[in-house]
Amino acid sequence: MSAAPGSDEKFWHAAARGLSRRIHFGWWLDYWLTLLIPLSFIGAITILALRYWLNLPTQSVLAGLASALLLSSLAAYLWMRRHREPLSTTRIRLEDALGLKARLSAAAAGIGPWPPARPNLTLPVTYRPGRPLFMVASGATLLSAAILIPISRSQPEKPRVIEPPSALQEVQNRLDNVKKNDAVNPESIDQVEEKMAELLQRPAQNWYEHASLEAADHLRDVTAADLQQLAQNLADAERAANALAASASGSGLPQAAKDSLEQALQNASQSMQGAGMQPSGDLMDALKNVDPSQLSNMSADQLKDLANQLAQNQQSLQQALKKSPSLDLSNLPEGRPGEGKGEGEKEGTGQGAPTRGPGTAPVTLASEDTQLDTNKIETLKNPLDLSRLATGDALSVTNGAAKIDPKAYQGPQQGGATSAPGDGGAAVWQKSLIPAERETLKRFFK
Amino acid sequence: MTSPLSEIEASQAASQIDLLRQSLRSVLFGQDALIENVLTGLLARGHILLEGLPGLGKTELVKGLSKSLGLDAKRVQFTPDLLPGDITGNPMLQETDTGRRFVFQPGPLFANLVLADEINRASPKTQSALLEAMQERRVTVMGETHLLPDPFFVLATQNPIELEGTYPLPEAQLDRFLFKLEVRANNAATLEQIVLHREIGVEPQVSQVLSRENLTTLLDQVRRVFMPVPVANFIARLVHATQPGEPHSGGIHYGASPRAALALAAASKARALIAGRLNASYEDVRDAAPQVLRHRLLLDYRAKLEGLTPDLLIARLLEHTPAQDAPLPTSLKAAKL
Repeated sequence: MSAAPGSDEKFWHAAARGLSRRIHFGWWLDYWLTLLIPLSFIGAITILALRYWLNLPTQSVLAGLASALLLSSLAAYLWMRRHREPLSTTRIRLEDALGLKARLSAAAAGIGPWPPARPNLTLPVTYRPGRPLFMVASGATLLSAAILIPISRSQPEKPRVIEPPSALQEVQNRLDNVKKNDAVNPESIDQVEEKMAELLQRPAQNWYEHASLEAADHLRDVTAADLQQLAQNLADAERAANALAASASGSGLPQAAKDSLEQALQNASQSMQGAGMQPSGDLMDALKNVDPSQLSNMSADQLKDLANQLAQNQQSLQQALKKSPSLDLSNLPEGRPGEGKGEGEKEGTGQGAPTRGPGTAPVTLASEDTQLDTNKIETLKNPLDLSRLATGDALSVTNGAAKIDPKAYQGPQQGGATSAPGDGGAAVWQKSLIPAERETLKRFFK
Repeated sequence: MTSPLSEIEASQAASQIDLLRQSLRSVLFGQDALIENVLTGLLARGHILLEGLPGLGKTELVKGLSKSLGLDAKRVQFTPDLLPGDITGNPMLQETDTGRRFVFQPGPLFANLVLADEINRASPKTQSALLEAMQERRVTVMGETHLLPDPFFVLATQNPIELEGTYPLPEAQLDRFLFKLEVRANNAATLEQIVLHREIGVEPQVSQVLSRENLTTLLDQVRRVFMPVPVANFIARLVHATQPGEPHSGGIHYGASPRAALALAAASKARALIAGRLNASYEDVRDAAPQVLRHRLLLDYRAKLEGLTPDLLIARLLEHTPAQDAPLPTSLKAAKL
């Protein structure tokens, strides 16, 4: 008997709902497990890729994994909705399994009372744990392996740094040094730097082309030559100014020597004003202010000051280029470039350059013996290759009647016949073969 | 629209049917299943084909039933020379007040309970006359239609051993029978009871336990038994599953007809009333299915060669036809409680 009116109905409704939930969960589990293995594969590969490429921390990987599982659960839920069972259907399962003689369906239709509640009701549908456990374990193994397996992280590819050619670096060092010591007019430095910038403006991958290297080397050499010329001019001018100052202070010099010194000072000054590398700004202004025609009228102090300025600039220049071993300014020759003793003439080829060759190859005009060791000459005696004769080729032209050998033609021969019968013990061969024999030979030699 | 059965009515009906059952048990020993099925067929207003060896109490069962219900019972022994008129009745020339004229003399069919013994011995023509009467519950002779008494039940028997000189019933005619029951031989204990309580030539004393009106009421109550939609669906799927081409109908050449579905529903309702329930159930359908379907399934040669029987095929169909056809997920399994 039911405890209270309607309680049995509630009980069976609840039981049907419970069974329905279990069936729905079963469907959800089915679909989720269907998604789980492919997702585990994809997830494992993704995790490995993320760990390798992005170097993600484990927390992020786990969070992503949880999100994927959540999404798959949602997809399985949406998929499961196709199999949603109404309570009427679930009631049928319940009443059939419990042997209720369709009383639940009848009671739901208003026929007869609801069956008495069964407090310890066991739902007529149980789980099959084997497949879900196996698949979950497989998926978990895959994902765990992807998370825990040691993997070397990818090193980010470093940007390829292309250093400017060493010649340009050398020029830049020199310029930096002279700029730091204020040994050269900044405008001259700017001009060289503009040229360097022009060279470096090209794509970096073209910096080491032959033409670029040649240009860089040229710029380095020109800069070095300009600096050397500046140093030489400074030294020449300083010597001339000192000598003139000494002359003006009383040490009498012949007029010719004084003229020569004035000329030297004037030449050096003009050379510095028109050179690629000009002296520093104050010295440049001082040189510009010196009137060549009034040079002989300058006092000893003025000349001394000028000589001091020249000496200071020279010292600054030497100090600046002290770290450039290839540009030694400490032993400057006393004279103009090109003057003095040369290195003399040398034999042999040059070094060559990217745009020019090493010079004329060393050749000798003397005849050389061949080393073929040939002592016999074979020539083709027969002008005609009889095996390659074509129809119409003439073997020879002779005058006279044709000689006919009446025994030469032996009449038609049967295929396979022996062309040279031979005598006893002589070799016998066949020249003409019947088709079957020819086919056999072809097969043999194939 | 008939009103549904009340619990009191169902309970009273079950009591009355139980009285009838007890009465028949006192007549026929050791055949409880047969009695149950006969009662089911009777309440479902169906005719029953009994197949079994002679001497197993078929006639006693019919006599006992007629006595218990107070109904007329006739027995017709079918022979090859039996004519339709011999069972339906013939017009006889008689002197009447208005002169000589043909007067219809009812045959043995005009009874509430008719035992058609060895029906497969009669010619097809006579069989047809009987089957027409079974279906239409009336007889037409020389243009005159005569209604058969109500209720009208036919219990036909056929001998499964002798085939010579018999005319097996065609499938279309077999379909008219609600049930085909197999009368099995008695076991030793039952035979001992028979020896102790029966004597040759002495008919058992059976008292009437139900009146004709009671029976009519019971027949009406069977119709009022509720048929839940899921049970009707189960019957439909079960009968449909017998059609060739269905997943589990291998070996069946011809399946059951819609009449079989109706018969199954009526039998299920009758069983529900016998049990005192208000509604038919899946169990009723499963219990009645072999009796209803076994004579309606025509097996193919392959099934016959393999030794399959209709009962085996029906058992297979019942096994594969659940009460609810919605599938379960693979992660769940149905538990037997």
